[in-house]
Amino acid sequence: MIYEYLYALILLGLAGFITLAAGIKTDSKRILGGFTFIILIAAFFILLFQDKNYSILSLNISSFDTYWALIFLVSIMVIIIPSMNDIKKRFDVYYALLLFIALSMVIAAFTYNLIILFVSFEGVSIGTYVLTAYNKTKRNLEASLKYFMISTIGTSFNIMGIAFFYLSTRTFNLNAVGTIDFNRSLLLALVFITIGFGFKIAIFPMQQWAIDTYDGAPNSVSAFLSTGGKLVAYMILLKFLFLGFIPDYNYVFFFFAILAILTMTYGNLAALMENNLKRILGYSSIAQAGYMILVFALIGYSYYPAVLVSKQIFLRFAIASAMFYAVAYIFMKAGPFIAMSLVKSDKVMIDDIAGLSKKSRWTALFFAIMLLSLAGVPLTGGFIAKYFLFFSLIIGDLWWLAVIAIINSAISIFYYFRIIIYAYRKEGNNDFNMAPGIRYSVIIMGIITIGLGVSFALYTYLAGIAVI
Amino acid sequence: MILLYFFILFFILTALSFFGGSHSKTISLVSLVVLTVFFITYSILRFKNYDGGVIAYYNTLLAQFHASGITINIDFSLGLTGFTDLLVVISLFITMFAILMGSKSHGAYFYGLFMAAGFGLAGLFMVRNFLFFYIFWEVVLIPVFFIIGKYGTGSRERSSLKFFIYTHIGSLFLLLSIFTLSTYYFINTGIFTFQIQDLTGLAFLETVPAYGFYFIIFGFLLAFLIKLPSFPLHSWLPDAYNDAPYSGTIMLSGGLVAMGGYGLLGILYPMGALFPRDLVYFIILLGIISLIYFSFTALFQADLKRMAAYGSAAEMAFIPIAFGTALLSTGYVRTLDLSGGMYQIIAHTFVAALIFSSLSMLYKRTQTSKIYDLGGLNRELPVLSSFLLIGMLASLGLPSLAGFIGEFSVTISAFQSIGLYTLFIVLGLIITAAFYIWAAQRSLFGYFNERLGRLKDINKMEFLILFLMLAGSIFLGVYPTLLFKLLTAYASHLGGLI
Repeated sequence: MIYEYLYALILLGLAGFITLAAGIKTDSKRILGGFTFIILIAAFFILLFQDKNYSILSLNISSFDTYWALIFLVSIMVIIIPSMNDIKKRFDVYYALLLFIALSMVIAAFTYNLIILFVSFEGVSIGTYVLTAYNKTKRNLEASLKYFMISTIGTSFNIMGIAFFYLSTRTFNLNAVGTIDFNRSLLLALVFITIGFGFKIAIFPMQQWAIDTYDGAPNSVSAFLSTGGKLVAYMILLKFLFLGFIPDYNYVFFFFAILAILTMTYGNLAALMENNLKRILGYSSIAQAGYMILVFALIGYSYYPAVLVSKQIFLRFAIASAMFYAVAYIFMKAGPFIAMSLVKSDKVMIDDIAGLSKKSRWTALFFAIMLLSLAGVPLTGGFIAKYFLFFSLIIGDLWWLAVIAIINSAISIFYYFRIIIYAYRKEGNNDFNMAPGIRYSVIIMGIITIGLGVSFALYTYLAGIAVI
Repeated sequence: MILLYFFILFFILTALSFFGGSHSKTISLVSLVVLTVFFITYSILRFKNYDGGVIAYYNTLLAQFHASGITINIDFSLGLTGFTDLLVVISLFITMFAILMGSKSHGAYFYGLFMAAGFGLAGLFMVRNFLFFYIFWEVVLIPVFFIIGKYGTGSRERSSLKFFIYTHIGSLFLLLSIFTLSTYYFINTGIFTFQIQDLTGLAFLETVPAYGFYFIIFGFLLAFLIKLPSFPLHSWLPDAYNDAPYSGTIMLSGGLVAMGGYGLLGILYPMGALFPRDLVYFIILLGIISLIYFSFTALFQADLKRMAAYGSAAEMAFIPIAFGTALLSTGYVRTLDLSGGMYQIIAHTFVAALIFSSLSMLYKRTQTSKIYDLGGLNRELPVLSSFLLIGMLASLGLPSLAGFIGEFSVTISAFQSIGLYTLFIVLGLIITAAFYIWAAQRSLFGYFNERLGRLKDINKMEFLILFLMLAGSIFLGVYPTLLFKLLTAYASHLGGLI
């Protein structure tokens, strides 16, 4: 067995234990955080440069999987420095947990075995239960409890779904699933799995915990929950739907088309009437999930015009747009959540952000850019992501879905711009917490958002590697 | 290649203006003058023997995907036609005028935003690729949104949001149309591309099935008519114009409106031959309704700024009329019609800049723009009043001033295709004349409102600014041949395409 393909995993696991051990001697956030950051960067580069297309144990290392592993690592990297502000003490356990979560996420990215997927997914969930409650304030504990309860329900749905899936396919390995005829247990598996992972992605009927949890958790943890934690479930579902159900399985299409419409419409409409800024961001992340699961609908769509593109290419475009959306989403969603730490109070109302531009021009500018990106304005990552998503919808002849998504995107302008207007108001004498860690995080993430907005070549590269 | 250098230089200077600090106004003005001189020199050299079509074409492949017979090309391409060349010039001028009217108290951001808007406009007119066309179409909105929302007056935040959402909805449908267009192109050729001249080729468009084509033109028309603005889609206009700072109003009325005009005459016209006849009549009808409706609304406005906003919109109503009637006619009537429409866009820039700048100076002195608060201004402010009056006369289409040429060409060529219905256009023109003259009579002549106190007439600097705009309007009014040469060459080229 060749272990060199596992170096990154071993590194992450060992570093987690080293961080815990170092906690006996020091509780310095700089040392522990810096160490974690360096380890994550090392793991990032090991994964980036190692050979692709290799299978070891149940792990499958291809360009596609590596891409997801990389962006999961990025989703943790972006919160390391901001959490130095949000977390009060015991940094050793905090950063060790982040490293273990990173390990679980990378394993989830590499595996195609349902059992290992499930276990690594639980690894992420259990880590985040602790992170959510980390400051032990009343808000944190409430958020964590809610999150824990709901996630447990989701977990049981997952187990049931996997069991039903096994019943009809006789395998846990997604790569080994052959052509399956329709049967009831497969349909049940689809429903159960969707509900189980849908809790984590916060799809419409399973969304309400997300709002409360994002609101109550420490800001950087909310940032992680709404990006990394969501994307890992998203990726698992992507693999599962793509490989587990034959791509022409029409139930997938109807199911997810309806869910996507409900999710984005609900997220956007609910955000309109909200005044709590963190909750607005929570609703917006639900709306974004709605756009993202349009890709699932595309995967299941079988009435695509065969004259246009072969199914294989069509799926490739769809998955590439999901992959681009994921990376853009990490920066544009985590950024505003991290920027919430600028406000001193725990509960962030929308007028707390008033006058931000007066205090710090650049922070306000890049904060605004990330919100523009969420709204899908050109020259930002969010635009390119949406652009190619709609593009693949139109190639797939799903005009009506594209039109609905576009109308939603227009609605979302209201609340994103409302935040921007508040941030640029001349009135308002709020006192902001101008810790350099947060300010520079926001600025750097804004710059990356713009960078993604001009990287057209990334999509074509992704279309090249989007083969599950 | 030189066009690319111009583009990059503009971008760098725009970025620079954000960092100018207290010298930002000077920096922006100097850079604009440099850019204008650069561009005009370049276009004089390039357009000496212009005979239609796209020249100075520059293309580079940004990204490509290639697998199993599928190609996605993402290009960046620049190019100029006789029409867009002039539009780039006016976008430089209008940015200059807007920045000139900015007061000293505004910070570097203010001028940076105007430079960004100007850059977006110039970029929009230069690119020959639908992807970047869309990007610039949106890029212009963001700075203008901030200009209205941050520096405006009244309920500025609401107005800026309204403005943004209206135009953004249009743009999203524009985006869908662009996708559809390129998807159909892909079905034909196996290549995904967003190049404008590929996608608007008539041979290709004839292969698009009718329902797909209607969807495409719906998106395009919605985006362009919102921007123009045309009758049922105009309700962002009075709020945005009224609540924007005067510089912003100049930018909106002179620059942003040209986007819609360019969209109709420069982008959509080549597809026009395939339009159903009823739709063409509908567009003309929209134009005529806009003309009459906006003029009537202007007649009853109590506020000079709001009145001028509607007046400016009424002037732009000639664009859909020109668009529609040109599709119905042939030969050199069509050429005259199209070039008249294009000329109207260019002339309107100078006229709108003159009117709104005078109003800005007036507001600075009287602190009001309500007509009933003013009166007899020519006693105290003879020079400023004359400038304002000339601006109004130019807008209502007095011969020898800029507005006349476009309106006249469009009206007489419209007669060839829609016959006696042209009377409605004339009716609109009469109402336009009526509201301008009536407003001038109530505010500039008659008894002076003594409550305004002693007013100081404009100083040399302000005189120079207004004189610049006036000179533009008069020049365009008495010597249209210069621009008409370019426009007719391009228009007859467009006609040849159909």
